Amino acid sequence: MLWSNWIECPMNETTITFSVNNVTRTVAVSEDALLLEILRDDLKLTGTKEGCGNGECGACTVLIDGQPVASCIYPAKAIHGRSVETIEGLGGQNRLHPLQSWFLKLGAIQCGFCTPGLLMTCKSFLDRNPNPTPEDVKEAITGNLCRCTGYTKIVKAVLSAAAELRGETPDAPQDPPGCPPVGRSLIRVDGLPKVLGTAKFAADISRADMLHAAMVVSPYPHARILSIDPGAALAMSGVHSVITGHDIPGEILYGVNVRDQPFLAREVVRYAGEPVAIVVAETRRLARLAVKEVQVTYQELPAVFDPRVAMSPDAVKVHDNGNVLLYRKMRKGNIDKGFAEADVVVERSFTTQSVDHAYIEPEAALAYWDGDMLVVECCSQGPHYLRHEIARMLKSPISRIRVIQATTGAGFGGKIDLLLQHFVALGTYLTGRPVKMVWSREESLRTSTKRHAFYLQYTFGATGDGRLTAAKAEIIGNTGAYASFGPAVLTRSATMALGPYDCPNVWVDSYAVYTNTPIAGAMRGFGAPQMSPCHEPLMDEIGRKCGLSAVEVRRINMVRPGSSTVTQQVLETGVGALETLERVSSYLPSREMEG
Amino acid sequence: MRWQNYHVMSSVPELLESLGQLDGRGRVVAGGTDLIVRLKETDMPSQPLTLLDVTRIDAMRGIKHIGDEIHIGAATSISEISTSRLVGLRARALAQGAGWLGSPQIRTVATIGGNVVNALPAADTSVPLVALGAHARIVSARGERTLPVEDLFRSVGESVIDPTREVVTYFIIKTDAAPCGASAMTRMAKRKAFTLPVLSVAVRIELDIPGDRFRAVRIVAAPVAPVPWRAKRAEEAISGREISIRSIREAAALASEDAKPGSSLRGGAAYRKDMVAVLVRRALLDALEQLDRVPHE
Amino acid sequence: MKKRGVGLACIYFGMGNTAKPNPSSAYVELLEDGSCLVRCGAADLGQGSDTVLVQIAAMALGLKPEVVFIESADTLTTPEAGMSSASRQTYVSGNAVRIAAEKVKEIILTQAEDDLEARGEDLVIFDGVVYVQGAPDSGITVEQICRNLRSRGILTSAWGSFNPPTPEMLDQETGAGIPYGAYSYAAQAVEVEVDTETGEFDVVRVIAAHDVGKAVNPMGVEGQIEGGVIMGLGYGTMEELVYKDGQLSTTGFGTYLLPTALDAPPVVPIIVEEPEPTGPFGAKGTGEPPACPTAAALLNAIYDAVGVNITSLPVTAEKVYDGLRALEKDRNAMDQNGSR
Repeated sequence: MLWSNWIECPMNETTITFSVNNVTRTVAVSEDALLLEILRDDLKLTGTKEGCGNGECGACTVLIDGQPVASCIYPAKAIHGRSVETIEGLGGQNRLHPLQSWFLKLGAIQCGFCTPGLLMTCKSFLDRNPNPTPEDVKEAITGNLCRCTGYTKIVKAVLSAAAELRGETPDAPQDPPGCPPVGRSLIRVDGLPKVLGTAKFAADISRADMLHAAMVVSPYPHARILSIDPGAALAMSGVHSVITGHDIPGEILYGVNVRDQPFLAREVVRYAGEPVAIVVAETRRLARLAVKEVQVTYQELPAVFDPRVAMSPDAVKVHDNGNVLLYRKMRKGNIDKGFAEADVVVERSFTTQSVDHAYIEPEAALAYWDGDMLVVECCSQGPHYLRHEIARMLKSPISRIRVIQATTGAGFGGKIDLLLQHFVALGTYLTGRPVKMVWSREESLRTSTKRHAFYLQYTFGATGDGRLTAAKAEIIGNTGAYASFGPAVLTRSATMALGPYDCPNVWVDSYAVYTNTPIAGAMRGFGAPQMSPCHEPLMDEIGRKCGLSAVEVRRINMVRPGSSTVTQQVLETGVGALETLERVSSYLPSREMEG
Repeated sequence: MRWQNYHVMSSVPELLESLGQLDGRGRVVAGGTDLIVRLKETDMPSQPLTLLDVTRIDAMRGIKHIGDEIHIGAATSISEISTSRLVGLRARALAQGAGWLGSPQIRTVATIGGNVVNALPAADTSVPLVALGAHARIVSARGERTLPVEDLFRSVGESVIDPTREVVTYFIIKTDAAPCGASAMTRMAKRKAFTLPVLSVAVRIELDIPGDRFRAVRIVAAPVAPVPWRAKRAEEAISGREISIRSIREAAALASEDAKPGSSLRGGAAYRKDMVAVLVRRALLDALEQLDRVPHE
Repeated sequence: MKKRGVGLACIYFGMGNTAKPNPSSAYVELLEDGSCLVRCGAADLGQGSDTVLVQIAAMALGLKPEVVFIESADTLTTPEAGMSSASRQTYVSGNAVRIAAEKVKEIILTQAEDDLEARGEDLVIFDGVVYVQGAPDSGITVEQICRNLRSRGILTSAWGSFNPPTPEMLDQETGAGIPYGAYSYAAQAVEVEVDTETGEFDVVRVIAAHDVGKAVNPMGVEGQIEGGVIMGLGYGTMEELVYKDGQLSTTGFGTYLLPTALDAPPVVPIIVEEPEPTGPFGAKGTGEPPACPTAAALLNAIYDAVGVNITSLPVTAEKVYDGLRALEKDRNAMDQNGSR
């Protein structure tokens, strides 16, 4: 059935009656509504979060008749006559549920986005199992993904809450007596709203007369945009506008390291998932439906995906100036001499994969006018940078743009770049009305930046007693379609290539290479997690060849005050490298680690 | 539009009448943990369905012990099955499989009927149900019939059951009875919880009366075929044999030899094929352990 | 058969942007009720910078942290602090807040010299009270001093900024230079148990020692270590964006797998404090380092347990199994050669 036919069969509305946090509510719902939509949009209970929309993360957990369910895939009509508990009913500011107070006291919260769902799962669990083991708690929360805490403190908090509920008095962490402010395990200052579900993440904020935006993205990894026909989308009742790159009043390109990325693609798309148009409509669902009606005609271009292929001169060019975005050299001492002095030479080829930050909060932003000031409230790791880019795009004085970081559901490097903040800014600039955009999990995985996939080739040389004499590394990083932090990441990789070891002769070649894959940018570790899988196994191998334990070979080579790094920086003070090694080794069975 | 209407059914006759009236445009939904995700994704199906929710039909819910059978309503939640003492004792492989399915949130609402009719070959309740030799009671306007669960699968995601015309009302499982009957399921996955398996194997064994020979054995592996797959040559080879490491190893090797897994994001074909032998052996040993009949090397 | 192994990995990590200026700034305002408002552009995304900056301001001013409040990351109301990246906010913005707070402290102490008739170097501020060293009972509250200052037309607020000391850019030909003002160090050990039949492995425990200079908030540092280790393990064991001809296959959390609570082994966080002279009260950043060595330690642990050298991430049971089979083949070939 075509859209035009479909729209004529009206969506049935009906009412349902159910109990929410012990209050009976009667709500008019559309037949195909989901419980999460009713809670967040109709009842304004925004403490329950949407992290994936597929029941795969647990952020939307509420209790139905006491049992945890994923409200994002629960039909609203099935709730009729049942009882729902949400975070808003768990406890109040002056009457925290023990779970809430122990999450605070034990540091079981970081970004707070998964917290409401987790608290509800745990509430249901403790109601059924008042005396759990740590393993029971872990089992119970397997449906609630947390990306920040590593779960350790969550499990402890649940056990402490259980003890309190049983009438026991669990120990709370104590600062040393007389401890000054620095050194105290202060409860996080933004913790309370996060356990109450009142912290406002960008998706939780609404404004009167607000429109919703959704992205049209390229299905092709490399293509020329021949035309964009918004006709069918605009014909849909409630669709306000379809914005393309040609509607941008100011600068066309942005980028934190290199300005090579279009605010909105105009001529060419360089990765599958690249935004090409923005649909603005009265509701989020309608905007998403209209996205499917925007007719974009592409001419597919040959594409390159492997950076090693992309480096060759006759490869498909992702950008006109060639695919090698950065070539960074590190040269210290004399590498040939270093290998000549080596009794032991070890080599390693290694590849690392592309991964996602996978913060549980998908990207979200809202823009509106406040007098002559254009305001953007959004998830962000740095509002001042975003302000600068948005001002360039709108040809506005920087001082007339205000970017406010909403409570942000973690970032790990993925919420530094301009992601969608410019889309809502542009929407508000062009329509005059507040515009909000919230990405789906799939959009986040397709369009956001990634950790660089690396191809690594290492050779280390050492004397027979295990002292490094030479270190050589070639690093090829797949930086994807646009620069983002690519040059900075591959530069940091070069500076960290050797690990925390002192070696007189070093040779590093590091490349950031464009390909037709999603943009690789900043991610926690920033080019270091890819290097340690090379330098650390090689240290072990040198140890084995020289009859040294893993601890001994590191102890010999570890940087100390006075050591010189890859960049020939002489370390002077604050060098705790050996101390970390000794502290870890004290935990290990001496048999394994001390040879 | 994800779906046209959503109706909560209160009885099987009401359901059949609604299916009849809707004539192909109505569809049975239970927990909806797969179906709702699919419909939500599409959001504009060419033919909007009317969903008929069966989770409040009493006749389709609950776990009953009837003679030497367990009857499980098709709309019984997975969490109820995974925590049922009766299922844990008398259809253990099913309790194990149910415990692995999804997350606590999913198990609260997902149902055994939905899991089976959804027809994914490695569905965590389908694999043990086939191993247990379970039957499904199916009701349509034309009447009632009983089919082996094994025969409900056509191919990946395609069931013999037409959810726009008929409904599975309950499953019938012959109980594992000590000292001679036991079942077990083993599973490998990339993550310890809340994920689909790289490989699953479920077995049911029946021993002879003194307890030193296999009388009958059913071995099911998935995903190694478009449907839950029975290792029939292995089953035949081991049935009647003495309980020994050797007979178990031989059966496991046969199962592995016959399995034809594919490669997917979760695992490569060659790895899966090798793992069939390991998991079949482990499942058989686990089942024997229930009967205190583990053979020694 | 199950075989156990232990693997070690060490890293170091430069604080702040590589060989680039990356300044931060903050306002600190002491109010007439003795409470304090810190305004700083640093974005807290859960890592805890708001809390850390409150503690640093309280420390510098001699206030209880309970009376210090923060407004952060709003371009209209807070001064620029750069991005929350490069493990830089504790180190860089922490210094900006410290510098601003110390300026305010100077104003307070100058007034207190008059009020207490003492020399500035003899004065102490602790828990909101200024007193002559050794005579805590005859002190005067910061609140009173603020009021006295206001009556003289002096406001107690100041601005501070800090840019890491990275004066030398990296040389184009040799890379020589000073890319970071400070480094953080870490050593981690991963203990595994490998199933030699299937290649499956269990991470039994992770020991993680991190030199953070000074833990401004030890519970927060532990949280960074525990979370970073599990992120590192996700990287090491299951996370992978799979593309086929540029098209993403892993489009949701059903196929892009993150560690669940059951995939998170016990982590033993060890805080090492080797004070960094350029850091606020000796502190260095700790956001990124915990995620850097874990996958490497896992690789070494797998090798230690079964001798398999994995050459790509993530480490899967299938890769370990293939490695075990290859070793077996090598052994068999050697045995055959030997028997000939």
